[in-house]
Amino acid sequence: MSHRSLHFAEFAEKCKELGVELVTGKEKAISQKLISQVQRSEFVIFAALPPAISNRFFVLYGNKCREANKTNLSTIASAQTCITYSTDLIAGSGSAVIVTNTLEERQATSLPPELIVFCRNPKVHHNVSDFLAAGRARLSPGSTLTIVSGPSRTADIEQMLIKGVHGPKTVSVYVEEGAEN
Amino acid sequence: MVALLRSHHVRRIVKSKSMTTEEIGLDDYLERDGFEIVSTDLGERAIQLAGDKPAHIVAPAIHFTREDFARLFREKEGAQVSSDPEEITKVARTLLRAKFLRAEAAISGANLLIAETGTVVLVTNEGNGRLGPSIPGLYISVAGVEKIVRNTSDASSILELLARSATGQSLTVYTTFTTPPQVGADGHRQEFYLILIDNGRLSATKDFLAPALKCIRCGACLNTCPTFNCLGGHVFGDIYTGPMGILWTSITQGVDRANEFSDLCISCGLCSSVCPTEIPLAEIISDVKSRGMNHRGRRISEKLLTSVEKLDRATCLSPPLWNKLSSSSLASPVMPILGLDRRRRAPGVAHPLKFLDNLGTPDTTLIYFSDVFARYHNPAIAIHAKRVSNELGHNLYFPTSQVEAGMPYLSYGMVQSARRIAKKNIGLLWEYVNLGYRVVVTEPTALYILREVYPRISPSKEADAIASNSCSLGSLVLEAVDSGKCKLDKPSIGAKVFYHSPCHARAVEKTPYSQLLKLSGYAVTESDVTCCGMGGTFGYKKGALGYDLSMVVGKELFEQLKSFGEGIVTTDSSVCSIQMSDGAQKTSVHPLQLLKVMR
Repeated sequence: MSHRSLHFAEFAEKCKELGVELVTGKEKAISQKLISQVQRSEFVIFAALPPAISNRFFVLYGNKCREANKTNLSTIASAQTCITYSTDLIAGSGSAVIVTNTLEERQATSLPPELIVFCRNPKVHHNVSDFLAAGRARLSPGSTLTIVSGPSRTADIEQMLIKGVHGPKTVSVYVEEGAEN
Repeated sequence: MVALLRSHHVRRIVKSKSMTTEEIGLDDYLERDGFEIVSTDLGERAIQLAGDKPAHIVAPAIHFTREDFARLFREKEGAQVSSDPEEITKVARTLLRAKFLRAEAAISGANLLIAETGTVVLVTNEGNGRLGPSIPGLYISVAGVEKIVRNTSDASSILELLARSATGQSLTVYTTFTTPPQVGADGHRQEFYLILIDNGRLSATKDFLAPALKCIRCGACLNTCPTFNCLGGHVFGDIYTGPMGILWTSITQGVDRANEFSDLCISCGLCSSVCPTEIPLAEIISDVKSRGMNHRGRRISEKLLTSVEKLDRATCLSPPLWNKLSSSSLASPVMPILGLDRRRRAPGVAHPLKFLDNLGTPDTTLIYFSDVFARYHNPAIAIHAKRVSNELGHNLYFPTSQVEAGMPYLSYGMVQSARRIAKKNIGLLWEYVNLGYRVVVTEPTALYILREVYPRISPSKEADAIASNSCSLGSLVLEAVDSGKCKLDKPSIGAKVFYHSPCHARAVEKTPYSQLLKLSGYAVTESDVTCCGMGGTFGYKKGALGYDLSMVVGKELFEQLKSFGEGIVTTDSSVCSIQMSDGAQKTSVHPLQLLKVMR
């Protein structure tokens, strides 16, 4: 097995532990999966998703999809699902790296109860140090880089683990493999 | 802060967890000035509704039950909620969501500040630290100056240590790197202010508190501290609580305030052993106590407990006379006068240890560093140490000019006296270590002192060499067994054993005795209690800050001992042995007494 697939196996294992739904597949399968999620959801916000991907949904489901940067806070707050994009995964902690460049994108990835992270041939790093050392963390003014490791959670009440506090209650990672970047 | 908030016409503020804002009393101050400031961390929100203060830096509301949470949200927020934690969390999400959406400013702390890029790093599990600053037009981060790191690579190692030590996660759920100013999709800029707090930190860089500035607020020392776990943060601490609280109260409010609760540290050393950034907490706490001692003078109990060896020498002149006196009905009324608890008895004495095996070559002889117990009170330990050493094929040489290891001096903040003792023992032991001899101990505290304490209070290459050439006799046996040089004999009687591993043993090496007893064929019940509560001589002192507290800490161990039933009780620490006898009426032996080595 290559380093990448080794890391990916570890990532999958960690997702299971954190309760993160992980789906991998070719372009068509992942695309189908995304469509079914949009169909199922009451309202979907796209944040930092490449336009080539989000545009398809506007054509089909324009009445229940919005682009975070083209709407307002109350619409974002009322959405059930956010679909966002990641280019980097971290195996050891089951994390996806999400970069947002506007306040609205940051709100959209924080407020809805469901978060779906779409990745196309992501780079899989062993741990946070490797990720930061790879020079892929661009900390430029105006950006927010978040390493998300599973659903929002708390143990403040009698040290009982409960999911879904201020951030998403469920996190899914869809990995499209084999496509050309 | 007030001027800044006013100039932005702010009234409603959301805040995510920040100990630094607690430290400067920001919430009270802003509330007095008419601002609404809402803590958004679930535990901190409950604390705020109750008008209470955090009890733990990672789990602020650890002292509240689910009923307390539900009652607070019902009474203070008018919510309909049962005491089901899932339901409480759901209700809190809804209530706080409304606060987030209409906030005009967000305040957060910072786990790290990256100098190279001007980035604020915030870790939260609940997601409030990521959500709060994403909404309003003003974002203020308040952080101690020690949070500044140079670049992302310095940040990364700290982030992993933090998550692992704080909650056992490989990474906290949200690690957010915000590089201001953030902008809206329409191009409007969110205003950002970073407020750096000194409050004693910069002057601490120049004194004995400097290592404490490496603290990453993970709470590992709180979670391992035996007295903190019994008493909680409201008794053991101020804004900052537990072991790190003694250090950080010293930094931010002065050592006098810290010394109002530093006595709750019983010098077990477990905090130093779990600290991910290797802050020598136990030793710095001794220094804090020492400064308090200079102010108030020594109490009679402290004078007595730091003169143990002198008393031992005197009473050993006639053990029968002393033993009769100390166990007579006259003894217990005298104890409180001396600041000691009347429910304790002074330990019996024996004729002092004076065996002198031949000092052969380093291959054939071990040097024995005994500390006071084996020397004056319980020579059986020394006799078995000699027997086991002989079975291993070594002489055990006891240099009689050695003095006590000196733990009580550290427990009571007498660092100067501890240093004098350290120099004496280092000078003596170095003569042997320099020739290639190894030093063995039977008392875990003695090893803790040789390894962890002497090199710090009396730094020298000699102290370091002694530290790296010292071990418990048990680990030497285990080493020989592991390398196949010898075997352990099966015991003929009493196959059932209860083993308590002393805190000082845990603080320096993985205890060898549990494994040795198992390898010998005993059925071993190893207690998971980390501390018996005795704290060296702490449990001898009278009253709440002594005997009473030691018994509360030891309660779980006593219950385990009582339910153990028939069998042998063993521990390698003499003071743990006294505590188990006083707290659970169980007599114990040193594990060496249960071992037989065959070559």
